[in-house]
Amino acid sequence: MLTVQQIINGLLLGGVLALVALGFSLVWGILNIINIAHGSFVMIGAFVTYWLFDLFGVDPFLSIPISMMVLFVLGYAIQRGIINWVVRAPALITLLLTFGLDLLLSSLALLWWKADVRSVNPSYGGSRIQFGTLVVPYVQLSTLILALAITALLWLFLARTRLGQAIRATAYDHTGAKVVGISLGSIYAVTFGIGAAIAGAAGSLVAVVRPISPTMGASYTVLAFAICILGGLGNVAGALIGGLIFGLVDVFGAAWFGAGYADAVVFAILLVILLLRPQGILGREYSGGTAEG
Amino acid sequence: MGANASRRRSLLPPITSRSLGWVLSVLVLILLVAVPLNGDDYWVRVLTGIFAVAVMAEGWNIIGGFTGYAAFGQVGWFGLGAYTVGVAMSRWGWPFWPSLIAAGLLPAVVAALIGVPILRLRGHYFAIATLAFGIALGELANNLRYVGASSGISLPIGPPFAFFYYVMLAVLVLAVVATWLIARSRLGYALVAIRENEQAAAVLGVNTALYKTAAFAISALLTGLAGGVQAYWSTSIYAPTVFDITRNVDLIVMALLGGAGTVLGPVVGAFLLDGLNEQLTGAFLQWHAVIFGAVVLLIVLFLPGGLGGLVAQGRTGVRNFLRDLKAFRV
Repeated sequence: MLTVQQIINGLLLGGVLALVALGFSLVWGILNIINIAHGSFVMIGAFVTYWLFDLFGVDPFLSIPISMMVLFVLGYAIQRGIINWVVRAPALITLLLTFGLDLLLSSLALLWWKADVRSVNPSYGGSRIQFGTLVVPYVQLSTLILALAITALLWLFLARTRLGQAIRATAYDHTGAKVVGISLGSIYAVTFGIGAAIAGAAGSLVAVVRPISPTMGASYTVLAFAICILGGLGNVAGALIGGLIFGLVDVFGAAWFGAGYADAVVFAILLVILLLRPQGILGREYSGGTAEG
Repeated sequence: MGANASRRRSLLPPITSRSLGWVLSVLVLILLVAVPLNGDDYWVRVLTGIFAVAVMAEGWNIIGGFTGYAAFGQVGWFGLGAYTVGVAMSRWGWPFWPSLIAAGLLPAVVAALIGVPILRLRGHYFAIATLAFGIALGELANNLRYVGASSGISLPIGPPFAFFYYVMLAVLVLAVVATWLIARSRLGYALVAIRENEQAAAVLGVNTALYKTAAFAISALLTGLAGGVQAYWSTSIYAPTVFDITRNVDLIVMALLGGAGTVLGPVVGAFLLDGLNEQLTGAFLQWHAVIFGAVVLLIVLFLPGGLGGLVAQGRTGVRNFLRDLKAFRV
C-alpha cells in the first residue's frame, strides 16, 4: 500500500505546484514575459493569508479571495505603470525588469516581516480521512480540490467570456486585436493581474501546507518555470499536468533516492523529457504572436 | 547634445574609438594591479569578489551573448570548479595550481559531453535544461558523502588575500582576452551566425553542433576557473553557496546591462552592478536590496537598449534617448 499512499501524496503536492505554475504560464504564454517576480507574488499571497489568520483569525481558505484581489490590483498596477513601458522590447529586457521587481518586492518583505519562517496552523490542521492504511489529510485534499477548481475557472474564463477571448486574440495576433478595437495596454494589464491573482491563490494554499518566509519566492519561480516547460507552454492543461507529474516525481524521487535527492531526480527526469520531447508533454510549437510582435 | 553631435561622433574613423578602448582598458588594468600595493584589505576583498562575478558574466557571454543560447546553469560550472579544487586539495593533497587547472578542465569536459544533447534544444527549453543540470549538480554535491555532503569541504589555509586578488584578476584577464580572440576568429563569426539564424548558418556549411559545443565548453572552462580560485580563497565551501541558483539571473542581468555579445560589456556590467550593490550595502545596510532593485528597474525603463547599445552605436543625446524610451511601449 505504500506506493498508493505515495501516489496520493504526490497528487496532493502536485495540485498546489500546478497552481503555482498556472499564473506564470498565462503571463509567459500570452505576454511573452518570463516573470521572475512570480515567486514574490506567491510569497505575498502567502503572507496575506498568514496575517489575516494571525491578526484577525480569518480561516486560511476564506482568505483566498482576499489575497487574489490584493494581487490582482498589484499585478494590474505593475503591468500598467511599469512593464507596459517596455513590453515590446525583447523578452530578455522584460526578464531584467521583473528581476528588479522581484528584488524590490522580496527585500521590502524581508524588511517588514523579517527573515522568520512562519506557518499557518488552523485548528483542523491535523484532521484526516483514513481508508484502511491510506491517509488523506483534509487540508491537503482541500488544496488539491481548490487548485483544480481555480484551474478549471481560468480555462472557462479564457474559453467562454468576451474578456477571455480578447486576451487569447491578443496573444494570437496583437495587430489584429488592435484593429478590432482591443486596447492592448489594458488587456496586458488585466492578463498580468490575473496571473498575479492566481499566484496569490497559490500562495494562500502554500501557506497552509508549508512554512513560509519572505525569501521563499525564488524557489517557487524556478519551480513554476520548470513545470511550464514540463507541461508545455501556453495552455492551461499543460500547467496542471506538469504540476501533477512534478509532484509525483518529487514524492517518488524522495522515497527511492532519499529526500536530499528529490530535486535532482525531478530535474533529471525533466532533462530526459526535454531531450525526448523538446516541446514539453502537451506543448505544441508555440504559434501565437507575442507582445514583441 | 543634439543629433548633430552624435552624427559627428559616428563619422570618426572606427579605429580611433577602438584604440581609445584599448588605452582605457590598459589604464584600468594598471590601476587594478596597483590596488593591493596600497594595503587596503577591504578593497582587495571586494574587488576579488567582483572579478569572480565578472568572469562568470563573461563566461555566460560566450554561450549566451555571442551564441544566443540563454544558459541558466552558469553557477553549476562555478560550483563544479570550486568542488574540483576542494576535493583535489583536501582529499588528494594536490597543490593549488594543478587543482586549478583541473577546475577548468573538468567543467569543460562535462560541458562538451552534455552539450551534445542539450544544445539541440532552443530558447527557453535550453534555459531550463541548463538550469536543471546546474541544480542537479548542486544537489549531488550537497548529498554525496565523498565531497562532504551538507557539511561541505574545508581547504588548507591559503596565502594572504592579495594572492587571490592577483590570481582572480589573471583569470578575468584570461576570460577577456579569450573572448576578444574568439570574437575575431572563425569561431566567433560562426557563433554570431548561429545566434542570428542557425538554420541559415548550417545551410551555408557552418558546423553548428561543433561550434556550439565549443562555445559551451569554453564558457564552462572560464567559469570553473573562477570557482576554483574562489574555493581556495574562502577555505571552506558549501554546496548552497557555490551552487547558488539565484546567481544565474544576476549574471545575465550584468551581461545584458553592459551589453551581451560584446567583449567588455559583461565585465563593465558586473563592475557596475556588483560595485553598486557593495556601495549600497555599505551605505544603507537595511535598505540596500530595495534600492538596488529600484535602480535595476530604472535602468531597464530608461535604457531598454542596455548601456552597451548606448555606447557602441554612439546613441547619446536627448532625441535618441526619447526615441528609445518610446520604442517599446504599447
